[in-house]
Order: sequence, then structure tokens, then C-alpha cells
Amino acid sequence: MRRSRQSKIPLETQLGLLAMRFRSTRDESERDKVAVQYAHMVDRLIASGKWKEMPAFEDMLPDEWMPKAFFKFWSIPAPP
Amino acid sequence: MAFAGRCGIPIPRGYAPMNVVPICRIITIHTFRGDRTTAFRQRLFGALNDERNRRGPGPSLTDCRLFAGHTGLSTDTDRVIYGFNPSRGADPIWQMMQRLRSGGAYPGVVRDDTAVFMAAQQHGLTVLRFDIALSPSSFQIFRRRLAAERRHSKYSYGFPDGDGDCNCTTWMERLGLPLLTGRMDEFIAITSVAAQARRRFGLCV
Repeated sequence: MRRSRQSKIPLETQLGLLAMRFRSTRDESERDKVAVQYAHMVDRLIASGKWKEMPAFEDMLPDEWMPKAFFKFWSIPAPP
Repeated sequence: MAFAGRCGIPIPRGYAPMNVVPICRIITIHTFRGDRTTAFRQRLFGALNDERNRRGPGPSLTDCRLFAGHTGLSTDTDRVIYGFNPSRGADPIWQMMQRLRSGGAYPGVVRDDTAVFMAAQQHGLTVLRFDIALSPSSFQIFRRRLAAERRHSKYSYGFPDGDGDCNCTTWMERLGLPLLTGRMDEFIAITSVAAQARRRFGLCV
């Protein structure tokens, strides 16, 4: 039920929801899990060929948790 | 229809009001979506990166808002557009963004953001506006709240589900402004309104 409802949500929106989940916890293992899902979602968006707009700040994770592919895709500097 | 009712809404025959029709006061909401074009984002994130690596002064706060988008409000008593912002103290902008994205919060501050909305228009962004009509008594309550917020906000600024109480948009709800019309179709059409099963505002965990 939950999975089918999630699948109807646009991938861009799901990124924002993952960013919210990340902020809602300080548990590092939970944050790791969210970051993995976030990276997977970024890969799906890139593969879709339909990712037209860079997410807002609040839909991103902190730099060190962001996947490298994100910076490459949007042609912005990656953190050191 | 025989009478103009509260805030000018027609009242059917047989429901004549007992009191004098009040004159509504208007609060205008101003909002714009950020500029995410290639040239602008590369300039902004380049400047953030330079600031982080001590190679440059960093972007302006206005540029950050032009990328992020912003919301503010004005009343029919003056033309100033007030907006809710983070008070970052001595933190550079890149660090503030990192902290907010990590779930941290900053004290909130209400500023005259008229220039930000002018900059958005000059930048070619569409500034959307809509009015909220309040009865005179509700308006007075709102005006007192806004005045108190301008002196010293009691809310902290944060990104959704972080430790802050609200951001520039949800701050308006804290002031008691109704942003939705009440039409069910409008509410349900908000993308993923139920996807995030719980909302957190402030340090309640």
C-alpha cells in the first residue's frame, strides 16, 4: 500500500521527502540509510533523462552526504 | 441577494445581518519560485564553494533567495514586504546552508525584504501575489503579532522537519494567516500532501 502510494509521487518530490527524513533524525545509521536511498533516487532521475530543474536547498542533504553524481549532473562544484 | 455581508460576501435574502457591514483589511502574500537556470546556479554554487574555500566573499543573501525562492507579506497600511529569515550571526552563508540542510536551526528574524522581491522581478522571475481579507478585529490581532515579530521573533528558522519552528512560508501560519481557501480540490492537489505522514515543527523530539 505504502509502496504503491510512494510510486505515484514524482521522483523530484521523493528527493525532498528523503531530505526531510534525513533532517528528522540524528541517528547516523538512519541517516546513512536515507543517504543511500537519496543517491539511488538521484541515479534514477539522471537515468530518466527528464530531470529538468535542480532541487531547492531544502530538498538537498548536507554536501558531505550528497552523491557525487549530483554535482556532476548539475555542473556545480563538489565539496572537497 | 440583498445585503453585503462580512467582507462583502453576498448574504441571501432572509439572512439579513444584525450589524453594520465591516470593511475588510487586506494582507497581501508575495511569493516567487527560484531561478534554477544553469548560468545562475553555477554562479551561486561557485560563489558558495569559493566562500567555503576562502577564495572569495561568497554569494549575496539576495542571490541565495533568488535561487531558493522566497515568500513575504505586506499589509494595506504600508508597502513594505516583510519576510522571515534566519539570523545567522557570524556564520558564513555556506555554513548556514549546511546547518539548515543538516536539520539545524537559527533564530528567526523579520526583515524588510521589499528589495528582494524587486530584485526577483528585475531578474525576470514571476512574483505571485494574493490577498487575504480579514475583519478589522482579526486584522488588529494580526498587526500586533506582526509588530511583535518585527521587534523580536519568537520563532526559529529551519528547513522542513528540521529543528526550526518554521521557514518563510510556514511563518505565516504561525501568525495565524489562513493560506488555503478551503476548497478540497485545492488541498488534495498539493503534491504529496500525505506522503510525509508526520510534520515536525521545532524541537519536539
